[in-house]
Amino acid sequence: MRNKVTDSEITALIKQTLDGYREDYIQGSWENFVQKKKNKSRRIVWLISSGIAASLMIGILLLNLSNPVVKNDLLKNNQQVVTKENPGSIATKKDTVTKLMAALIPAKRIGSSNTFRTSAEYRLISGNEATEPATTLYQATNSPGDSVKVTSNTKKGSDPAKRKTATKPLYFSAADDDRVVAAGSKRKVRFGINFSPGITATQSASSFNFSGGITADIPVYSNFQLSTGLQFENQSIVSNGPQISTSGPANQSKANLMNLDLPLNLTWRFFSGKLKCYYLSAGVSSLAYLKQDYQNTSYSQQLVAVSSLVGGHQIISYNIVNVASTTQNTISPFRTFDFAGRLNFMVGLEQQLSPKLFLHFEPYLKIPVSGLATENLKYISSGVTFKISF
Amino acid sequence: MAGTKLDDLDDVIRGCLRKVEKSQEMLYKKFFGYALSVAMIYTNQRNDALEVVDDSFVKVFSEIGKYNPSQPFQGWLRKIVINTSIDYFRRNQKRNLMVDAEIQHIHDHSPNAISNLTALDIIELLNHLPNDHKKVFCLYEVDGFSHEEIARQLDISESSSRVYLTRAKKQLRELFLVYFNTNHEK
Repeated sequence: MRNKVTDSEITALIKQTLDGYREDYIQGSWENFVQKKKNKSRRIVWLISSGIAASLMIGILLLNLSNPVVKNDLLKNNQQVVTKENPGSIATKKDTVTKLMAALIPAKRIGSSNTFRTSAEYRLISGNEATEPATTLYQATNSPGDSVKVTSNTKKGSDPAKRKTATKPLYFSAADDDRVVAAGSKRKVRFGINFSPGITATQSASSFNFSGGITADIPVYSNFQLSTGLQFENQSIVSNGPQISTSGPANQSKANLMNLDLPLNLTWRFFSGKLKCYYLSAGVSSLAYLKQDYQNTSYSQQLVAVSSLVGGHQIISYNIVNVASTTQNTISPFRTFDFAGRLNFMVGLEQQLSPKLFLHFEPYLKIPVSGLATENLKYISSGVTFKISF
Repeated sequence: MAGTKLDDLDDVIRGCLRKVEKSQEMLYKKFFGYALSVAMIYTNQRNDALEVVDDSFVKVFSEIGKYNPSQPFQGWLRKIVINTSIDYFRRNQKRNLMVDAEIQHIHDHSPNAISNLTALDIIELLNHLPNDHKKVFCLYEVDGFSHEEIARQLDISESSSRVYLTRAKKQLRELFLVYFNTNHEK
């Protein structure tokens, strides 16, 4: 019989059997298909929009780098003025400016709306320091063009006394401060880099995760700003399934994910101090997966016969054995996209390190809106983001 | 009756040409089983086959303008499913099934004569062949492709195609014998 099984017979049998083979329609397949199509189009939209966002960010960054800031112009003007007046007295001009800035900032901040502390705040202060003593500088004014006038008058440098009367002293009010911000708003967007270690938790287990990337904070209104960026995340998600029996191990699912996160958060700066600022932030994240590795281990119990010879008789006994079955599954990059798949909540502390440099601590919580990635994982991420913005 | 069915299919295809979702749904549901049965032959897992079917229907709906109504629709669909299956593996969605030794054996069956093998039994046997061997065997023996066409499809040489076919047949012969012995020694 075995010998009769020849290649041609096998081939004919296979062909014949497969010709008549027909699967049935699986209920819900069309609905899944429609959903997949939608996800695919969303993925395309996300890729395009993230591409545009990245290009914009790079564009803005390049513009900021290539544009000389107005501050330099004002400072130069003052340098020229003082040089004409008394060249010998300004050897330590820069030091004086720095000292005066430090002395004047607290006075200026009273009543300040304090949205963005930009270098523009210091421009006006340094601009006046060169012409007037610090004590008499801030008396009364309401003209937004004061700083310019000061500069232009002093530039003429004809008569010091005449110049003193012509120069309108400055007074910083909250409104002025807004103008200061406006004057300094040549650079509205603040960029940053961050790193976030954290914990990913499922219902049954938790594991370490980390992420990092670039951010952009765009002021939208008063104390509100829009925070976006591009984050790279590496997460390990472990969840234990139900146990097959009290003696057996629980089924386990492990997922290693690498993904890009495009957050869109609204930030409210609810308290601003001299050098510190506290804020709340909330929004959504869209995720595109670069790598998805899944490993599912399930256990089943089987009876195994064990034979032994006792006194010349064969005795067969049966043992229960846990048999592990592991399935590994790797999904290729960008196969899955979760548009607005996660909610972000964070509280932040911003510490000013230098006029242009800020350090942020942001404890965060990220909650999935629905199942994430290919296998609809539900996990919560939390941790602290360390960010440097400039 | 047959004419009515043909007219129905023509209407459905016309609807698909106009991107009418109801027509697309009808076409999908009507040919899903057929597409899945073809995809099952060319993939190793049911989930892969389902993915291939969905990818194939995406192509069907976007390329339906290229379908020649004088040819049978099933033939056109079969070609798309086969090409999609091959593309799917070329993209290499790397899936390894690591199972314990017991599961790696051919599953237990009730004692059967070889001629009583079901399509699923045969697909399972075919899945024991290396992927390239299996594809060459199926393309040549089941779908009647020539070695030249296979070489073009799989991006291999014609001689490789011939070698793979010979090896596939040899392995199948061995697998059939193992299967036959396993079931008849019980």
